[in-house]
Amino acid sequence: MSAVTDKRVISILVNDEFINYVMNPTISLIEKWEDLFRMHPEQIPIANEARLILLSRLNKKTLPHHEVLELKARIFEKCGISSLN
Amino acid sequence: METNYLQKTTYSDSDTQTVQLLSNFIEGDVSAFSKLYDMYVNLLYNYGYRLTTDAELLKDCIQDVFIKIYNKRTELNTVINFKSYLLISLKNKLCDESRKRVNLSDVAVDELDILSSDNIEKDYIAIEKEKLDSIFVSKMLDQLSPRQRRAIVLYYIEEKKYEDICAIMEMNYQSVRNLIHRGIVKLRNCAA
Repeated sequence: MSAVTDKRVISILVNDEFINYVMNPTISLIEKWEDLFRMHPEQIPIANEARLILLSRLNKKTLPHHEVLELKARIFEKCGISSLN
Repeated sequence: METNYLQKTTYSDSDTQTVQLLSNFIEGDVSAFSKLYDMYVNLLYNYGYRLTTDAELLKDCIQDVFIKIYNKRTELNTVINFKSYLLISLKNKLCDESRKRVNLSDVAVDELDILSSDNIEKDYIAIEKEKLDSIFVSKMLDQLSPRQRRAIVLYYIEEKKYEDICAIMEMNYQSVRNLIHRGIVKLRNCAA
């Protein structure tokens, strides 16, 4: 496993307001981020890369199917759920 | 006139399905919890993969996020957007775990620095300075237009594929190739 994402992209990816701006944009979030992009247009491609990652549209990484099932079994066991549906 | 800097996110059928599943889960339907896991485990994995190189830590944190959701399901009524909630929960969990590990060892200090950042503008400036630590490379790249510079950094430094650069820069394949080619020609002329 290797994460080679640009640190500039990561710095946006971990920003709660950016996550909300991408996933559930409100007028105030749109205004805030578009003001920022107006002042720093060079950041638009970086923010766009972060947006595509959040939306799983860029070089998507997935867990192998057997690991998805193993992790689900672990979670259900910890939650005391007996059957997998 | 409104300027769209990034393409706006649109709601999909899966968002409607999520709202229904969440409602069923809050009322105690375990199969809805199972379906929510199936729908979103890879959203979380894909996101977390960009924040840590430790696959086991990432899986442990995803596990903790889902366990927390299960145990606090009655509080999910207040969640406005489930995907945002999941992503932010995972990021916070990874951050907490990184902090704990830093207390035991200095191995993850670099990682913590990334995860603890919250001032986006300050980060931009600091990271830009760090990136431009080579004066020569910096001066050379300064000869390029912002788009040429970004394309060349993506291709030669970050080793992105053309198709990824097309998506990031919202340009077609030929335009990206032309941009990089013109940038390289310009750099060669500057270096001559």
